[in-house]
Amino acid sequence: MTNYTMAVLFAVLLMWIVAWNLRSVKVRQTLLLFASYFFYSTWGIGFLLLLVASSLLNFAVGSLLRRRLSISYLWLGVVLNVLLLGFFKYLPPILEVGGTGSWQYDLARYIIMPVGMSFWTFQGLSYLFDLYLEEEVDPSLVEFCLYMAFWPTVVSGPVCRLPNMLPQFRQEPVLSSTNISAGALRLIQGLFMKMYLASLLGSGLTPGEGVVAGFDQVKSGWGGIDVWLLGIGFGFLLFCDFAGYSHMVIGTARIFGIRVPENFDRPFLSTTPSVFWTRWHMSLSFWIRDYVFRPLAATRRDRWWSYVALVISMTLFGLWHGAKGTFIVFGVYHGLLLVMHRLGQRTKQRFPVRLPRYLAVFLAWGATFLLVSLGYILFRANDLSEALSMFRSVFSPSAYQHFAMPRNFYMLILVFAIGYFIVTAGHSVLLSWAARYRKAMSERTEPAEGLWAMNFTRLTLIIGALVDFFAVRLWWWLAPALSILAVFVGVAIYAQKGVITVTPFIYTLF
Amino acid sequence: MGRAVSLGGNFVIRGGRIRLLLALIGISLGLWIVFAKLVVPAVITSAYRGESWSFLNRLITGQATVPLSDYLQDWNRVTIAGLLSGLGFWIVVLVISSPAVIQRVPAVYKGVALLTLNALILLLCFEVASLGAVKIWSVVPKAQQLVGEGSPRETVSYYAGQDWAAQFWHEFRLTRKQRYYPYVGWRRAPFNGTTINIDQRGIRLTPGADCRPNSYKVFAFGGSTMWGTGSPNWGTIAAYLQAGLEKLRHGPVCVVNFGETAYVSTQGVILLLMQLQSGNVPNLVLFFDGASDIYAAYQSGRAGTPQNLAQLAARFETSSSPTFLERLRSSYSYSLIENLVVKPIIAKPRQQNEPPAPELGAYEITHTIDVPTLSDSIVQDYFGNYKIVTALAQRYGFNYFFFLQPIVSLGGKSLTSEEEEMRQRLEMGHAINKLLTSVYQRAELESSKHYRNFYSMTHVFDGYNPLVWIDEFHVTPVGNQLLAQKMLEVVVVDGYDGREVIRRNQ
Repeated sequence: MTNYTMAVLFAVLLMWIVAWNLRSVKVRQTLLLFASYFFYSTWGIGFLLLLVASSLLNFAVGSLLRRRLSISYLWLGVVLNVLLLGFFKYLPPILEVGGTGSWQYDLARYIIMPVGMSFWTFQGLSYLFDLYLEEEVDPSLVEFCLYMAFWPTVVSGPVCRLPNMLPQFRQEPVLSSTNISAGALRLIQGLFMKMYLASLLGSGLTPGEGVVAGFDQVKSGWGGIDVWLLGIGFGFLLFCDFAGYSHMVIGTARIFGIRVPENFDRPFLSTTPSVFWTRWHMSLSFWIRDYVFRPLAATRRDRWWSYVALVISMTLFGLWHGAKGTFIVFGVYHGLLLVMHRLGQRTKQRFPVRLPRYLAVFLAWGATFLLVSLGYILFRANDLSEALSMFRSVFSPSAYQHFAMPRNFYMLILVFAIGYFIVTAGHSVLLSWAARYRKAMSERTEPAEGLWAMNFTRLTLIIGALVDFFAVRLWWWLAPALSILAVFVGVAIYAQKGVITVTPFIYTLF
Repeated sequence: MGRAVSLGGNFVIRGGRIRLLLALIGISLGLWIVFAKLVVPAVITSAYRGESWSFLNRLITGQATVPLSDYLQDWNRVTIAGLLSGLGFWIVVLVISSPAVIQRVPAVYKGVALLTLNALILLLCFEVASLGAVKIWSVVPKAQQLVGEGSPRETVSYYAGQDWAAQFWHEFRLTRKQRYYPYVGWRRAPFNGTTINIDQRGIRLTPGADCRPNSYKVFAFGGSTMWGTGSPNWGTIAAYLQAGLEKLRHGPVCVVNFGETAYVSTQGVILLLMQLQSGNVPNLVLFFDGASDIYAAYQSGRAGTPQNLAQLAARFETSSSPTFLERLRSSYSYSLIENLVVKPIIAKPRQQNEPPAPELGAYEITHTIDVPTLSDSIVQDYFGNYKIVTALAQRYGFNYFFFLQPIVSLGGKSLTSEEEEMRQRLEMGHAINKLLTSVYQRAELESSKHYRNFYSMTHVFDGYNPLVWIDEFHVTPVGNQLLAQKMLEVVVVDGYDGREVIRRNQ
């Protein structure tokens, strides 16, 4: 982080704190908008002008829609947004097909997509769709511009919806300790996921042993195990990177009392592809569900059409990431997975298979996890031929005797994956024990002896009590622990004359 | 107008407080910017010229070596740091000036005390846990694993077919440990491996070197290419020279590889002086330099310096670490956090003595390089060394040659796709590439006039099509063999009477 970036962040925070102390809603919103624009302008004044132009355009079309609900106005808004996004996002890769030296290629190099454009364009579109669907939204120009440019989310989402944000922009600001605590915790969690876990997975235990090298530096071909672990590893890398980012954004907004939509909800515990898409990049997948899939599926009543609509929606989801063959195939792949899942459900209803419940859940989870992980190969591969080559290794038995990656890579991915599930499961179990302890305490009518007679063991009671004790006094131990960690890390960096390397968030590329 | 808010009997004007603070923020930051941008630069300029008050003039003493722009640049950093501190200060003031916070001062004090106590308890617990982890880790048997530095050159296709490559890069990483060496700064620590051997003097083994008193002694000086980055002991230039000379001469031959990573030609000359001083007079001296001299100048913005000058200077100029930091660093907690947390997330700047890398630590990042002037200075310094060695050669009776090392972006070799990538990578660093080209052109032009024993190796790989380069400056053992062959062609040794006949290769 440069001094300049730090200065900008400080200034934005300062403006936000000042805004939170202002009583006038309009002045506060204006100052928040100014802070957001100031933040966004650090990527370039030109980008800011585009954001402002897009906001004005959507607001103007929205005004037309508010006056008269006409499909032609909606289409006008959709076409204008898609044209703007298409020009910056999809035209350059098409022009680059001309090859180096051609005028198209040179032209493409001059077209630079503003950061976060895919996110705020979709926010603008959702406003128009909501108006058309007769949602009660009546933002002022400043409120709408603030919604489009809201600085925590403007770079990479989550994709917000105006009906959710507008009341929060208007409410009396409250700096509560609950919000600050919850927000700070999310912020720390995000920092840890991005700066440590994602870095570790990306670069490996030593440079060249991570997931990035696995995709970019292997020249002798991948073995079957390599591809599976690269898929799993990249899934976790993307999760730590993007969910880490989302935690930071949600946490920052939460500190100031604003609740931004969630983006992830333990996606790797999903037991079906459908469930996975309600837990992974939720703000976008719900956007696609609400504004693409449902209207599309509603146009015909045939069952086969709903499957087609699924594939089209997921293809659009893939295409949203960029005009690259791998993203499109990624979308089609997930569309087909969803279709197969639905067909599987129908088949199961007709030919029920009786399995013990835990085994059935485990098999469903395992299949979903592996199929989703395989999909990440399509997402991350540098091009389609690389993806094809990797898929070939997966389906070729002889490839399972070949290992292209260093041993540390296999160890890292396996330990990480197992560790993730242990931590996630352990967390849930501990929380449930703590909840049971609290319930027992609240229902207690007799002296403590009565507690032991209740329906759980002494050990879980003690652990639950401990978890509850530390959860209630979270900052009393977390703040000192983080301070100690920060001091040690700072000293180590100083002693080694090193710098923290943070790769850009993956989703800022989209 | 401010709104009156009742707080425990006190009336605080909420809006008034904000307005007052905003005014103070605006005024203080404005004053700081005016002071920092208009007043101080003028004072620095006049003090640099010695035209200010005497106490200010005394603050600036480095006019001979440090340009004015450096001082102004430093002040710019202070300006930004001041601005950041000011903003941070006002954020804190805004928060703590809230009446609610003021009322809670006693509670805050208790909280801070409790947090401090908890921190100490946690630190103790963590230290005990770390001690346990370190002890357990130390008794766990570890599989021997060959790990290199992870640099792209380790994966160059040439190494895919070499069974020694993994072992070599593993040992190469281990030989990064340096020791202080008088007058020249550093040399590698002694090392005994299967592909790399370094003796107690920090000199890399030349296989077959027979250094008995009456042997024919050749001193080879240079940077990492002469040392043999990318090659096992048998594949260094010195090793091929040894083999070639053994064929050409009767009697024992002793080629000593004085090459060391990041050495500039002046360090080679100093090493030569030290050998002569101790009575170790060679028969033939070979200097193989170029890239290091240029890169050192590129880093520091001036010629005649070793590489990583700023880091070397810092070791002298900064005071020793505070005891508190040393204690922290000696704790088990530090050791654990360093290995588990810090190593994966930090990138160390290229360490002293590592080979040149145009993308790091360059002077051009903060300054504009005057390529013609700087390249003139580099060439003058280089030939200054040449003249010193000429004088020493006459006095001590040895022969000598200066070879200008090849680099991937120059010469007429037909590059493989991997080499083409290396060339492009080098050319992406525009300033270093311009400087390299300019120095090489000037050196070749200059040498044709006055310097008989200078030979440019720029075209040594012309006509050889397979891959030779492993990065922008280093080559495979095959490349070293070609370099040694060319050197031997330039220096032809008459093995019958022990007298060297030197033929200028045209």
